[in-house]
Amino acid sequence: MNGYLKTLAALLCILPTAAGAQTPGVTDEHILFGQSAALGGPAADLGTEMRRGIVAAFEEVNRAGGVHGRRLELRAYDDRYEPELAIANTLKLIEEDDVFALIGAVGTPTSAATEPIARAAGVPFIAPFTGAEFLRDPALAAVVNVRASYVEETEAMVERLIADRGISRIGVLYQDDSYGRAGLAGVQRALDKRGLELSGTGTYQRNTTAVKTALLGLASKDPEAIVVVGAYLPSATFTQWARKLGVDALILNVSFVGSYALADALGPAGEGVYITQVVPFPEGDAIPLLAEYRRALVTNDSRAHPSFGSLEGYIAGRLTAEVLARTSDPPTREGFLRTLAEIGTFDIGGLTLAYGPGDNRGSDKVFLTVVRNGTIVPVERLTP
Amino acid sequence: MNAPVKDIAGQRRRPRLGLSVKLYAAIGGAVALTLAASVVAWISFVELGQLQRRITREHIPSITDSLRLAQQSALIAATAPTLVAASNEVERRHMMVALRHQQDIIVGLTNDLERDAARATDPGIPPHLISEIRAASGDLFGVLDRLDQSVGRQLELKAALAERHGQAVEAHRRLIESLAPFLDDATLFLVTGYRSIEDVVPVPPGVRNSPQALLEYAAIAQLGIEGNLIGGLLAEAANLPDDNLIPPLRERFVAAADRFRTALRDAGGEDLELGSIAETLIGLGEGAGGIFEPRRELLVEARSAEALAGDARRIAARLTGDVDRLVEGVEARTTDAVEASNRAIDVGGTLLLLLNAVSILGALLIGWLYVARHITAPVVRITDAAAAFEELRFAPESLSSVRNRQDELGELARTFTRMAGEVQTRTETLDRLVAERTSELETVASRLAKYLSPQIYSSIFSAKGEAVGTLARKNLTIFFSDIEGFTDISDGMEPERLSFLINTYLSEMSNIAIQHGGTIDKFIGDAILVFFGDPETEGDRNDALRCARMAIAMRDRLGELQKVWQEHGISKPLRARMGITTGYCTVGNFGSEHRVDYTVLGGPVNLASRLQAQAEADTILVADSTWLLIRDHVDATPLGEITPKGFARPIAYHRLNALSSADGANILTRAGRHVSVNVTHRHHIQEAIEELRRMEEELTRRLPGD
Repeated sequence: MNGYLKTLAALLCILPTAAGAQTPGVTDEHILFGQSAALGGPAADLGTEMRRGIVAAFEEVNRAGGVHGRRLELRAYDDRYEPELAIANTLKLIEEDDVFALIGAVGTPTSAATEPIARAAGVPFIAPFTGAEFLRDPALAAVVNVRASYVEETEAMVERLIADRGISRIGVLYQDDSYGRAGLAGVQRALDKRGLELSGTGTYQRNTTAVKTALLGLASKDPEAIVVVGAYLPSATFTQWARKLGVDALILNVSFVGSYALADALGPAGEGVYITQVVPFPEGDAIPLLAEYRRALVTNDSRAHPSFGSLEGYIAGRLTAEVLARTSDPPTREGFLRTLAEIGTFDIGGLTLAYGPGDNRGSDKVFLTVVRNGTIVPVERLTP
Repeated sequence: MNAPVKDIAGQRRRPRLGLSVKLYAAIGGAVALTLAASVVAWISFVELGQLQRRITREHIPSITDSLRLAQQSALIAATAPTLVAASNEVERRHMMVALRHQQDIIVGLTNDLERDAARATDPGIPPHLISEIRAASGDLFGVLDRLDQSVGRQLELKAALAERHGQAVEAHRRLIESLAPFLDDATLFLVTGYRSIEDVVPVPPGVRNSPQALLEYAAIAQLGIEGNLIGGLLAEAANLPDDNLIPPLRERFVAAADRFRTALRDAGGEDLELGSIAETLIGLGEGAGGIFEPRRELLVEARSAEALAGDARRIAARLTGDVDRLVEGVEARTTDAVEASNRAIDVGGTLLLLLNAVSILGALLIGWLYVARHITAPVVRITDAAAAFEELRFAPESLSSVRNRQDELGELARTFTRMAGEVQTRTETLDRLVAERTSELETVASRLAKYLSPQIYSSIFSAKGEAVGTLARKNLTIFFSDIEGFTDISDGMEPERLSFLINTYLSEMSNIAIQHGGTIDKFIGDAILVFFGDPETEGDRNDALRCARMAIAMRDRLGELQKVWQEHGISKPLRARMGITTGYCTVGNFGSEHRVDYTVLGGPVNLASRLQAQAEADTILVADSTWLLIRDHVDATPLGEITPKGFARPIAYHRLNALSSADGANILTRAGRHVSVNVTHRHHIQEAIEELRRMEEELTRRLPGD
């Protein structure tokens, strides 16, 4: 009797404490995540796919009973790839919606604008859809990167160009913003490493397809290969005009371009255009992750097709669920990040993501794909 | 005996106005005085309380209201300028609500102050000051209302301006985004001859590089310049700080817009989408829907708001000044009131002190005039009477006034007088009885005197009896006499004659012994034992000398008595033998429980007896011990020595013949209370008188003063 009463008293003491220290976004029923991404506008495809992958992973976890009985939920707002809108969305998610963490931000300029807000609020910033190097700063403990960076993608490109084809005259077409400049810097660094120089650069204004003047400039330098750091439409326009004007340089795109959209826009001119990827080919079977992904995707939305973007979202969702499952319950933001850094290595269906104190990079793997007959296929190396 | 007791008890109950009633009356009087003082004190406190209430009711509300008014005035003066800075409608409304609230408070406080002033019993707040405050606050509220309207208008304008500015930024962005591909395509065409990806054959260089084509290309390039200029001018207009700068800026804007339209026409792009985007952008500058007009209005409105704010500040300063004067006035009034109150307290305190003094004085007067005179004084008189009575000099008249009183003291005086009378009567009776008994006792004593030595008698009756009762060893001079052949003489003599003879003899001898201060020890038949030196001594020498004189006087008197006895038919002469010695004897009471004799024992007594037996008739034998003491004053014949029976050594002795003629001192002899004058020659009379005078002086000196 006495023991029972003591237990009851102890419970009564603990309950208000637990309730008082509750982390935002965490209730007994769910854990709420927030996403600000381009769901409309020219880059709508990227945000939509990213969200689709995250939701597929969350729903898969929820179907299995959630994390410690809590459902994972996502609230997403459209920022149209505009930093101003992204800032407003992020503030709303943190201050009004009380999300536990931000996930799946799309784009370099948007992430550059919103990451400081998340950092100031102590909110985890999970899986931003960008390879910008500044997000890999070891000091940013609240950032959880999943994908390899643009530096790693461009490094892989330059490595393959030299190794497979012996190409050393390389030009860059980049979108005139932080994204494009990040890619340019990556190529520059890779060439510097090898004692080479850029053969030429061209730039275009964001949200336009005004790439022709840049093409004329680049063509005058007669590069053997052109790395395009831009959106799919200008990239496609550029490639088409290049081929029309007889520029036969090898054209390589970074993952951010949006591979399937690019392949569609390119049409016949796309044959042989390379795209580096930061996730495995989604329709392959190299690791168990891919089948699980496709199953989750279709279960959630029967009309959905596998894509690099949704696969990246899926991996981010799976990783988040995995870390939460290992975090002491009820989860806190600090506990989540601590678990990530302490456990370090996570195997997501065969894909290894490695973190640690001062290391928020996750994956550094770059996968190579090429457009063949209007579709995208994985390749190991550049073919002549 | 019972009846008088009852009577006294009845008298005690009788007084109607008892002592306790009088004391109660006296205390009551003192209490009444104190009560009177308290009543006056109470009245003065009530007065003070009313004064204080006046301060509390009139001045404190005025102070509070004035201070609150000052506070609110300061607050409203501080709030008014911030209204100008209101950045949105919510903020403005919020501020206005606060200002209206302050306004209501100020109006309310002003009304309160006016009411207070109307109600005030002192001159109060000057009405003109209140009207000034009312006027100033009215002005201030009017200005604030106008300021509020102006700020509201400004906010509307700002909102409109912000919206248009946003639209302009968006339109500018879209224009540039449209112009970029336009220029891009033109460049490609100029360089390659292709207009679109579908073109199979490029336009030949001669055509595409004609002057017309180049001018077109320049016009396209100019579009970018003018488009950016338009956007920049609009952004500048939206933030222009001075409305005077608007006309020149607008002129530049109109010029740029004209150039843009001309360039667009020259470039042949009028039908393109960018033409409508450009018109939208230009429209945001010119006309009613543009940025310039609201910006101008906003600046004008802001200037008038600044002016209003300035007015508000001035009026607020006026208001605060008025309120400050009000506060000063109220403070001055309050200070006056507090001083008045303090004065009232001082006066009250003094009054109270005075009343207490009067009360104490009254109590003292009651004590002095009433208690002391009518209660304490009679008690003192009775006490004095009792003391006098103790000293037996009580006079009943001294209590006559007290006896007439009708209270317990009167009763006490009457009872005391009665008691004193009774005690006096009894004392007199007792005194009489004592006198009677004393005279009886004196009779007895005088009769007893015949049977006692005068020394023993006087010792017994002069309360010196204890001297007799003790044994002592003293140096005495002993005298022993006996009549030679008394047995022969007495034989055959009738008892009456014998009695006469012996009585005459002993009486005469006794008188002489007493005259000389001797102590008659006893008579043993016809023998007489007398000693000197106890109970009274005049020193060994004088004692011995007195004894010698006595012996000579007895011998001489006996010679004279022979004639008396012969006249009575006693023919045989009586011839005495006498012995005198001096030495230490034991003197005191000897005897049994039933009978005590005061006598001397010792060797000198025996020796005196032996010397007497040795002596011839009519001679006096003196032992050597005595002779040594008196030889300067007597004429004596040494007779050698004898060894009397019972003595181990021979004793020298002398026959005392007479006193020597040089014994001038012996003209007078004093023994106890008796002085003998022994004048044998005429020339001794003067000496005796001088001697008596000396004796008188000595006695006077020795006796205690009366």
